[in-house]
Amino acid sequence: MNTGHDKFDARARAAHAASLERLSPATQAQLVQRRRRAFAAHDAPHGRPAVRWAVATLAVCAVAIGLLHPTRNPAPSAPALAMTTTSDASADSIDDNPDFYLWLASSDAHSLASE
Amino acid sequence: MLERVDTDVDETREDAFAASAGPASLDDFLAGIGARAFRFAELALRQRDDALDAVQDAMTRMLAYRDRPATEWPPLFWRILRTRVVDLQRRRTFRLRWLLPAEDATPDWNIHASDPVGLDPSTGHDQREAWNRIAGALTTLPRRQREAFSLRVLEELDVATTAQVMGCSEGSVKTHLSRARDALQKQLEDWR
Repeated sequence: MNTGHDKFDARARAAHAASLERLSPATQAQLVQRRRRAFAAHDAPHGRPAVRWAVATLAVCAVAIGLLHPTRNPAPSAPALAMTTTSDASADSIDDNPDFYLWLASSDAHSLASE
Repeated sequence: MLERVDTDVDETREDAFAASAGPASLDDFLAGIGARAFRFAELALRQRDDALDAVQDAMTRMLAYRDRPATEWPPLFWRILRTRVVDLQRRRTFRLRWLLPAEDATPDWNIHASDPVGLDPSTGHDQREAWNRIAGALTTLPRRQREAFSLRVLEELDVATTAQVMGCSEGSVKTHLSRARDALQKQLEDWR
């Protein structure tokens, strides 16, 4: 073996070993904290699918309940339909009443219109 | 206070990691390799926070391989860390220079650490000077040469594992290492 290289490598290794022993307390503390953060970051994604599943399950339940009870509340258009039907009926009754046309032709209707 | 206790626990883990055949868990493995990983990233990035980010990212990604046998962890971790460091270096080239944090001229060092009992007080200073010199010389090398020297000499990985980590052939590792040694020995002639 090349003894020149061995000696050089040994000195480099010794300097490196000393540098590992002489890390500043702030850096040592950071390494501990960051290792913990690494574990936390790795464990965190496992919780997200559970949350997603819970939200999806709730949404499916809400839709299912809505589909199972469609007539629980009256349809909002029903009163409008009823009113339309009523007004149509009254219009039909006027159309069918000959007295209405007689009254239109009378002087009462002309005087009422001129007022 | 809590951080001090944590770092003490980590030091115990590092000792156990070095003494035993291998780590008992991935947490132990990451605790044991943290300081080495930081120095590797610091040499490449020359910025403490970026180096810590690279180590954290590598640890996070490493957790996906926790089911692998413990013997596979070291090459996997070094490969992941090296990739993260390269990614950060490439990303830096697309960032505006004035947005970059100032590069730390000197490596991280605990200047207040008490010297071990029986050790000459000047030894700590000499150790710091030695590391500053080799770290400074390593930062001047091309990336592949620095990686080859760091992994083969400082981390003492074998040629095959280094090639696996660097994603190249064993012959390329030997070539990069030889060139790195030549360049470093020119800069540090008194170390030969």
